Amino acid sequence: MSWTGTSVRRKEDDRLVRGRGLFTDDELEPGMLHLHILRSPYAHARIVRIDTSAAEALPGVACVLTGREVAAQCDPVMQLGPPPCDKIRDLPMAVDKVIFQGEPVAAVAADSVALAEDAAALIDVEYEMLDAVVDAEDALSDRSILHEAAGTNRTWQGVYEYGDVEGAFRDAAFVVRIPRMQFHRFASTPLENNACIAEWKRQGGVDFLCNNSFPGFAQQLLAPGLRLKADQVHIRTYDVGGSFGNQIWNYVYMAVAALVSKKTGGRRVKWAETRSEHLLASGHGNERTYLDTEVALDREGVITAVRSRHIDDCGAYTRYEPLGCVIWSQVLAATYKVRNLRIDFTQTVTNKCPVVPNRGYSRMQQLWFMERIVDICAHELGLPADEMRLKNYITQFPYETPNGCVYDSGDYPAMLTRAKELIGWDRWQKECAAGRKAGRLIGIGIGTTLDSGTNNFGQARIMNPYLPFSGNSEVCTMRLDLEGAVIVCLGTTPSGQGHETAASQVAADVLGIDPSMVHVRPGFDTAWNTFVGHSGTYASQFAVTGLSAVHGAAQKLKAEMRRLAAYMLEAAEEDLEFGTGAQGPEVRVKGTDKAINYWYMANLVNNNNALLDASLADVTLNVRHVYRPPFKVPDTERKFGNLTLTYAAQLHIAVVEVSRETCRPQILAYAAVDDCGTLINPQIAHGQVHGATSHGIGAAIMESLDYDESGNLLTGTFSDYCPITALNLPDIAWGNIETPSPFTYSGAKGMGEGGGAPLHTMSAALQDALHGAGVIVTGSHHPAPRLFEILQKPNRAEAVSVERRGGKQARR
Amino acid sequence: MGIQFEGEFSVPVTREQAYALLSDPAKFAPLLPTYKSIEVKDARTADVTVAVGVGKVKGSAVITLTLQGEEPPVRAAYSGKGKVMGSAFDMATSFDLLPGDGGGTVVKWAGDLTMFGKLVALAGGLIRPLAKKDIERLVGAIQAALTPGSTAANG
Repeated sequence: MSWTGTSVRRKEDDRLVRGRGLFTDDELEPGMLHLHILRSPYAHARIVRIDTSAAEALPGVACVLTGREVAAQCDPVMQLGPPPCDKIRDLPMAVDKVIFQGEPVAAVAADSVALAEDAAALIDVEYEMLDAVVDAEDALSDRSILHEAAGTNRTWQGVYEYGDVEGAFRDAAFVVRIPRMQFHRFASTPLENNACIAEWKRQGGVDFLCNNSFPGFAQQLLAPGLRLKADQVHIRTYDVGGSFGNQIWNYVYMAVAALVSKKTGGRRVKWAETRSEHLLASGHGNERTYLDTEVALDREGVITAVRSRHIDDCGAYTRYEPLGCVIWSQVLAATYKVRNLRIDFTQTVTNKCPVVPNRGYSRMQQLWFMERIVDICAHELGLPADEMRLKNYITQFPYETPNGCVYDSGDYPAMLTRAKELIGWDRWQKECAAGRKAGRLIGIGIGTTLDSGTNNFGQARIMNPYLPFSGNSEVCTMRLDLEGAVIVCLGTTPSGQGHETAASQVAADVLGIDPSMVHVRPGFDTAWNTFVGHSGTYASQFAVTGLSAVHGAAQKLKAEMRRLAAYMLEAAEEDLEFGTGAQGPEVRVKGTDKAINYWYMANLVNNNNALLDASLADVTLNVRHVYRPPFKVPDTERKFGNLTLTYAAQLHIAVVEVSRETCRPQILAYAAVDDCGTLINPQIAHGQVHGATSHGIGAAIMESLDYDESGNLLTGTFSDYCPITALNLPDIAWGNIETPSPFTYSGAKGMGEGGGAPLHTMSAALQDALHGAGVIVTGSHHPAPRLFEILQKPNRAEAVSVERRGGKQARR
Repeated sequence: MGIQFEGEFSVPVTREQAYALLSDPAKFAPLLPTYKSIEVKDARTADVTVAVGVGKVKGSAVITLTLQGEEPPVRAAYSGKGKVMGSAFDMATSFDLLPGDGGGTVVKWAGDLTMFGKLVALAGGLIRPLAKKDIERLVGAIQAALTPGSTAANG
C-alpha cells in the first residue's frame, strides 16, 4: 500500500496533547535571567537622554542595555533593498530616535520577569516628539522622514508592464474605473508568542533556543550583526506554536537577548514576549492601497487589461522588505487569463510596526485586488459573479502568465462546480433573491485564490539586481542508527504543520515499511541538522521542497541498503525487495526466505565491518540529499521569469447576511474547496485549509491593527483586536479536487498559507448583499461599525464608474 | 491620540491678579485635579505629581510643567510632559487674559493634550470623557481661586 494519500495520525500529537511538548518558554532553570524590554510610547521621537541608574540600582537586576551599547557592539542588519533603501540602519534597539510605537529603547535583565519589568519602569527616557506619518500616501510626501540617511520614505518603486495595455484600453467595450481600494493591516497572531533563550559562550559565539521559523536566514543575518562567524551562531528550536511567517523575523530580539547575555558574562537570558508586545511590536502584515484602477473588458465581460497604482505600507523598517514589492507578482493576474497589465508599485515606510511575512504574504493582497476587480465588474455590468469568473478563468495548464510564471496545474471551473455543490448554490441563490426582495441584506460571494509555493529566490533580483540569491533548495539527512531505526533529519522548522508525520509517510513509501518505523527528529538544530540557506518553513513549500528532499534521501539510503543486502545475501540487486518481516523491516530475496534486517545492516556498517568487501567502503547508511527545483534567474529588466514552482488553488463560497439592526455580518453558509495536487496526508491538508479559512474570516470581519494619527496602536490587546475563535466560525463544508503537479515527484503542490481566500470571499458576498444599497466594497475589513458607516453613506457614485463604448471587440 | 479643549470664563479680579496666579507654577499646579505634590525646579518649571485613574488602571503621573510663551499680564502658557504606566503625554495650555466688565478679567483658555502608548490602546475610549471632566474641574478650580471670598480662594 502507499502511505501517500493516507490520513496517518499525526505523530507529533502524542507528545503535544499529553503536555510533553517543549516550547521555548517551558525551559526554566535556576540562575536564568529574565529579560524585559522597555519600549517607546511614541511613534516618532528623538531620544534626548536615557537615565538607567535607578533601574540598575534595584536589587536583583543584573544589567540594563541601551541602544548606544547595542550600536557599539552590533552592526545593522543587512538591507535587501537597492538605494536608497540600503541606507536604512536597522539595529535591534533604537539609538537616537524611535520610529514606531513599541520600538525597544532599553532592556533589563533581572532575576524574575516581574523584577525586570519593575526596573524598566524606573528608566527615565526623555523624548523630543517628531511628526508621525501613519498614512502611506502622506509618508510618500516626505514631510517627515523616518530614515534620514535614506533621505526619503520611499523604499522601492517599479513598474510591472506586460502585453499591450494601451491597445486593450483603446479597443475596450467597457472600462471600469475604481479610484481607490484598501487592504488593511492584520497579523496571524500565532498561539505562541516570540521567545528565545540566549547564552553568550565564553569561548565565543552564542547559543539560542528559540521559535524562529527560518533559522538558516536568521543565522545569516545574526552572525554579521553580532560580529560572529555563522557557525558561532547556534540556533535550536523544538516545538513551535505557529508562525505563519511572523516568526521569521524575531532574530531582532534574539540579538538583544544575546547582547544582554554577553553583558552579564554569559548568563542564560530568557525573553518571552507578552501578547500585548506581540501585537504592538512583533510584526504585522502588509497594508496596501490601490489607486486609479482601470479595467478594460470586451462585450462579453472578458477582462482584457488592468492598470493600477499600488502603494505598499511596510511600517517602520524594511525587515524582509522590500521583497513584498516583487513577491506579489507570483500571482500577477491571479486565476485569470488577462494578458495586458500595468501595475506601478511603490512601497513606503511609515511610523507603524514593521511588517513581516504573514500567511499569504504579499500575494494575498494582489489576489484580493484581482478578485475585487472581477467582482465589482460583474456587479456593475450586471453579470452573474460565477459566469464572470468562468469567462475569465485560466483553463489550460501548464499556463505561462504574462510575467513568465508557470502555473503547473489546476481546474478552477471544476472547483467552482464542487464548491457550488457543497454549499447548495441554487438554493441559496433563490433564498438570496427572495431575501433581498423582502429587504434583507443577504448575498452570496465567490473567492478564488492561489497558494504559490516553492519560491524562486531569484525573484529578489527583480527588486534588487545585486542580491546574491536565486533558486531554492531543501535538505534531508537519513540514516540507519545502530539499532537499525530509520532516523530522519529535516532542514525545516515545523510550527504545527505535521512535518514529522508527512516525512515519515514519504520515507515509509520508499522503503516499504510502516511510518511508525521512521523516526523524524523533532525540532531543528544548526549544529545537528544539516541545512542550506533556503532551509526553513515558509511560503507553502514543505510538500515540495521538504518532502522532495526526504524522497531523495530515502532513495539514496535505499540504494545503499540494496547494495549491502545484495552482497550479504549473494543476490542480484534486482532480485531484492524491501518490506517488513518477522524481525522488523528487512530486505529479502524475492520468492525466498533469505532476508537481512535493518538491525543487521546497521551492525555491519557500524560495528562489524570486517565482514564487508572493500567495494562497499562508500556505503555508510547515512545519506544527505539536497533537493533543488529547476529554476532559472529571472530577467530583471523585463521583470519576467518563473517565480514559483507550484500553484495550489482554493475556491471558497460564502453566504452572508448583514443585520439591518446591528450591521453585524453573519455567515449563513461557507464552503471551501482546495486543490493542492496529490494529497500526502488528507487530514493535515484539511487542517491547514481549516486554519487558513479561520484566519481569513477573522481578518475579513474582526481583526485589524488600527492606528490613530499619532501612531498609537488602538487595537493592542485581544479585547480590541478580536481574534477569531471557534465560537465565531461557521461550519465549513470542505472538499477538494486533485490536479497533480507535473513539476513535483509526487504531484503534490505546496499549501497551507491559503491565499487569503476568505478575505476575497467575504468581500464578494458583502458586495452581493450590499450592491442594491448602493455600496461598493473597496476595503478588506468589514466589522459591524464599518458596515454601519458605509450603509449610512453609500459610496457607489464615487467608488466606481463604468464607461460603456459601442466600439470594437477588445483584443485579448 | 489628541484632545483639544477651549473655553472662556470671567473672574472679578484684574488681569494682573489673574496673571499672578496663572503664571506661577507653585500656585497653578495645586489647582490641577487629582494633584498630589509638587517639586519646584525653578521659577518656570515644576514637577507635579497627580493621581491617574482610567477604569481599573490606576497610578501616578509626574508632569514636568514649564511656563512658556507668557506675556504679562495678557497671557500665561504652559507646556507639559509626563509619563504614566508605560505611556506618555504631552500637553500645552494657554490662558489669554482680556479686560472684562467692571474691572474684571475674561480668561480665554485652550488646551491640547496628546497621549501616546499603552494607555491609549487599553483605555482610549475612556480618556476623552475623563479628560473633559478633569478640564472642567480645573477651570472651576481656577475660577474659584480667582474669585475673592470663595472657599478655594480663601483656602
